[in-house]
Amino acid sequence: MDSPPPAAQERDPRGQQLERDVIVIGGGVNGVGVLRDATLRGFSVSLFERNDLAFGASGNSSGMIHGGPRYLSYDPDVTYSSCLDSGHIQRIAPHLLFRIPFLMPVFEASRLKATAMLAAYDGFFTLYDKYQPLKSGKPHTRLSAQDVQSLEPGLVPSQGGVSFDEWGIDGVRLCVANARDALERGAEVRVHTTVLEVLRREDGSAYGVRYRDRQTGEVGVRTARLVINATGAWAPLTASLSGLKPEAARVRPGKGIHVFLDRRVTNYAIVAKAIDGRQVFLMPWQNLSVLGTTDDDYYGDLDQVVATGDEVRYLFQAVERVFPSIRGARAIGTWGGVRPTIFGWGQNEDQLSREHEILDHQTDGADGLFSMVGGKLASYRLFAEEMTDVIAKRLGRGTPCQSHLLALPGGDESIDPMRLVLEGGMEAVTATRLEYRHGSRSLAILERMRKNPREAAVVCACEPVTVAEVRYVVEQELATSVEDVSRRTRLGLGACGGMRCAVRCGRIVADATGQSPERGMAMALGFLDKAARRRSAAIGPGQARAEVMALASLRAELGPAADEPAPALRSEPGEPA
Amino acid sequence: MRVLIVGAGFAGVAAALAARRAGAAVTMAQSRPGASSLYAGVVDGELGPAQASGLEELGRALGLRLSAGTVVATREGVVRSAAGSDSALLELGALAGRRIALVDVARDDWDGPLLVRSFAASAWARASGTRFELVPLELLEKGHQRRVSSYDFASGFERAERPAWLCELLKAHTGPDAWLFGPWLGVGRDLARELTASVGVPVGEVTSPPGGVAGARFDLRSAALLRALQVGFAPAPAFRVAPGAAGVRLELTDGTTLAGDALVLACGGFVSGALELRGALSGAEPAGLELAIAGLPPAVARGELATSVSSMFGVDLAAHGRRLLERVGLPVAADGGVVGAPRVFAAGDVLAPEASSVGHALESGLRAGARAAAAR
Repeated sequence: MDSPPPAAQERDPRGQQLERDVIVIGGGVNGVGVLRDATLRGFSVSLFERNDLAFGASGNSSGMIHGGPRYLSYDPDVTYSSCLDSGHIQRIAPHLLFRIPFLMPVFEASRLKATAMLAAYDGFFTLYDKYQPLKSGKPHTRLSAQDVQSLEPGLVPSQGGVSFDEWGIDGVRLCVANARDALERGAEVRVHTTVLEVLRREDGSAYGVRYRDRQTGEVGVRTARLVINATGAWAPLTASLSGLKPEAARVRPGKGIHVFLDRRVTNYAIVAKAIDGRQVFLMPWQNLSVLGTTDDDYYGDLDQVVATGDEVRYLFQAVERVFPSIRGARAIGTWGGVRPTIFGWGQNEDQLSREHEILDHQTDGADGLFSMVGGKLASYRLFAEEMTDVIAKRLGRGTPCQSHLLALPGGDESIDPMRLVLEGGMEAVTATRLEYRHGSRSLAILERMRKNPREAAVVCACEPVTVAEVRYVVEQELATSVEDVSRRTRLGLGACGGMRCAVRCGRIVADATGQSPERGMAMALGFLDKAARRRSAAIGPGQARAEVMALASLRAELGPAADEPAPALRSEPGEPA
Repeated sequence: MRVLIVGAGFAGVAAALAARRAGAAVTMAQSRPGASSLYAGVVDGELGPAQASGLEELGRALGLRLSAGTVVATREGVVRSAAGSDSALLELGALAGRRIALVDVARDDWDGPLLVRSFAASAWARASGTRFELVPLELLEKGHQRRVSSYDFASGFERAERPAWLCELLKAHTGPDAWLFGPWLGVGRDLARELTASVGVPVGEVTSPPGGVAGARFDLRSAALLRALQVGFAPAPAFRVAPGAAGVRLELTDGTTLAGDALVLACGGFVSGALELRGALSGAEPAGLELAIAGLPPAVARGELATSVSSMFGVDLAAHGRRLLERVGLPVAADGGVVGAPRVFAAGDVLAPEASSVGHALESGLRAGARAAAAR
């Protein structure tokens, strides 16, 4: 299998030349990682994503490319590769990273125990410090009880603690940047396009896919030399679409949810212990605070992952013990995803390996088909490199990997947000958030505002997001609906739950995609419906009261349902395949 | 006869009017602005003929156009029917088949080019053959007006010379049969009516955002009405109602008590401005959401909610659906009397099936006020 494929493998069963070198199924971080790497190495690649880029675990992770100190004791290789690749990501997308300093306070029943625990932490993080230079992290600090108290006065009195250093990232932006780069280098990316079947020759070898565009209903065939299943938790389903047993690409799906607050309530991320002994956290992230995370076996619908009330309470209960004022905080939403953890039986979710694996389905009789299972956001690039190495070997060509050397779109140059303020007429916070998401590409958005100053208008005041950015992500980043725009910009995820901006955003998206105003309204209502379902498990009375008001206002704007044939609250953007 | 009223929104004001007209003295307890002060300018709900005279007087005093066939345009690009509206909103029903000019201004909260498309594509416009066209007007005096709140922008048009200037500006454009503005036509001054008279064609607004001019107009006009009715005001917000056989006591947050013969509870639902809604996250309260009213049947006031709160986190809407937000009401008999409290009558959102139905607030307020004034 190391030699170039025989001539017969260069054609489909009807004798036609194959259209692509590689087809990637799945638009999560592993999929777009392979898409970009393989494109950079000179392969022609098509990617098919059933929902949207970063729809699953990649866009719903804890939003860190952390080094995984948690894995240091039983999976040090994961820690090493995570730290190394975290450093690489920092170099190719510096605009997407932000430092999250962590605080690990000690709470023990006796002073003796506390001293022992503190010494243990100190030793452990001294070991972790050896990995920190790989990702430009700062070494840990041992802190006295007073230090901890002065750093985070909201903590209950501790017996000291340690600080350590991690990097935060917006996983969606990372995926979009990879896809955008590949697009600009000639790759094909089809979002909202589900793969109906992986096509195989009589000898079992894979030669392409049959797909269906969920928005237009178009059905088509794309052929390729190799097919990569990078569908995360969906991997077993994709295997069965290939005529294999689902077990051929088995994962152990682990649901993890996060709750976010309407503002940052701490400067440090705080590690707390949950009732079952698991470590959870309360961390500042972008302009929010986030509580996370759970890890539970998941048996539900992968397209409809929503946090439940008990998961929310589990996190609050844990954080409340060390940070009591969290009870007064206003939770405004949740996100949840399902990890595609490598399968293992009889272990606790937390004990499962965070390693990744490439499965060559030649062993299942499907030559040319591979599955990527496991992995972490922090080491996606490495996983993609390993996969692309296999591709290059199989196809017998390709240039060396450069995905750690070439900047992702927006990461090539640092832009001063003040420039956007002065030249685009934006407010400082708008400019800062815009520059975070788009890096140097924010200049393209600035250019739109120069041409039409009204595009500087803020659509979503919570984040904030401008008209120009909404139009940009529709035209340049494959967004086709309000939900897609929200995923890329965080529009509509603030305290008003999108009730003040979704309908306007729908009008803009409809206009930018040549659709009717009614379609824009339907998109907005679909988004609001989904956003409400995601939020409702977490909101308390204060937020509920505000939402009743926003809802009443929205009702007044939309009028009684009988007036117009109401756009059905169907799942957007398309019907399930 | 002394009637106490908790809440000064649409329902409380309607109750005050009805109680005064029935000859009772009225004292009102209020605190923060509630849903009425944030409404969009649209009256929903069914307005029956039973209280026509009260509704007519309320409509006049509060600047409302109450008519079942009202058609208005909204900020979100929808043309919709209503049971009435703030009279500053452009009444489209009478303009079917005509040419309506939508004013375009380069404000951040206004996307004229897309709104006009949306109005033109509405079922109403297509069925009635009504045309909407966009007319850009230079209404911004300074750059910052692009981002000031619509309330501030609206109040800017009240300055002495501005209405006349605006009138000349509109007159210079011949052609349109009506002018549709954003929610900017003054707060204290009825510019919609003034301009309609001076320009010679109807001039009006779309709906207001929360915190916009429609709610502000309600605040100003309802305060004037209550003054005219000689309603007294409690010195502090109310937090507890204690009904007895002979009368009702209302405890205030400053420790004092008011006594009355009957009481109208018009404190709002979830968005209450007059009574404190306690939630689990706000302190050591055991339950998620409780109307802090003693004396009323608490088991029922809580009943529906008790099953849906957790020990710690409040209403679990995932489990019980978002309609729960709108069902914080009290058990009320058909006549508006609160079950188990013979001298307490409820009105408005506190017993509404749905938040912010102004029509329901007006009707139930009038009814409760009349009943309270007649309580024996």
